[in-house]
Amino acid sequence: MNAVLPKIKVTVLFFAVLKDATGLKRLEIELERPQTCGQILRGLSDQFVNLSGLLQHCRLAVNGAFVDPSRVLAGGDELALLPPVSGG
Amino acid sequence: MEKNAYLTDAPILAQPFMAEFSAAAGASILFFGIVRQLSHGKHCHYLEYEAYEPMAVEQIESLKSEALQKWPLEQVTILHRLGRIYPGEIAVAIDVRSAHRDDAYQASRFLIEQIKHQVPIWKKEYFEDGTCAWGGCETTQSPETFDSNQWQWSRERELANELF
Repeated sequence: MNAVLPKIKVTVLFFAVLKDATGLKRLEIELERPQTCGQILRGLSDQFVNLSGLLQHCRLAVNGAFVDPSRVLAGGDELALLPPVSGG
Repeated sequence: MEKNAYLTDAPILAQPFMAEFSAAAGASILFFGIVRQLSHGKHCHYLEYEAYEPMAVEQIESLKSEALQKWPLEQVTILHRLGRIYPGEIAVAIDVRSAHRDDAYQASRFLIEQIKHQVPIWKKEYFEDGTCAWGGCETTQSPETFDSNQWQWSRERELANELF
């Protein structure tokens, strides 16, 4: 009866100060069940202590479009964590 | 080399922007953002720009469309540097042409302000004293001194409240 659900694979992208804090440009994550972006961030802040204090200043984008933390991630989604921008 | 219409790893040269003018546009406002040597009281050795490139391109494209809808413009050209860039070099070029000057002035200002506040591009400043810092980050500037991005900090506080 208990079918094994396929895991949901998502990619997290780190830029600028977040890239330096984690030492990563990207991270592949496998989720057992659907999670919101906010839940992912909480997991990341547990995993990377250097991120504490930085994530709260980030905007979030999924597949190149801004989203709220309540957005639920689907398989193949690309979650980008965008610290305050400084182009121009 | 130019990676696409809006982002380039190569030095942005001023001259090509002044090469051709059409008779339809009575006004051409050319804005260059230049890397300043003095930054927060420190001497900048060089900067490195990075971008979330697909999103940055889409955002710039969208801002260009918005400008073309808001003002009757003949032509809009936007080019932003990525990679290492030194003081005195051009970081961003915005060329706006319209029949009359008011529209070009307003659209030019709109575009540079939106690019600075919206588009996912970041600079890391490397100073002559050997230190470095990401621009726009709380680790280098307090939100209170971050006046040009006030709206953004308040938006991020909202997000933070939703998150934690």
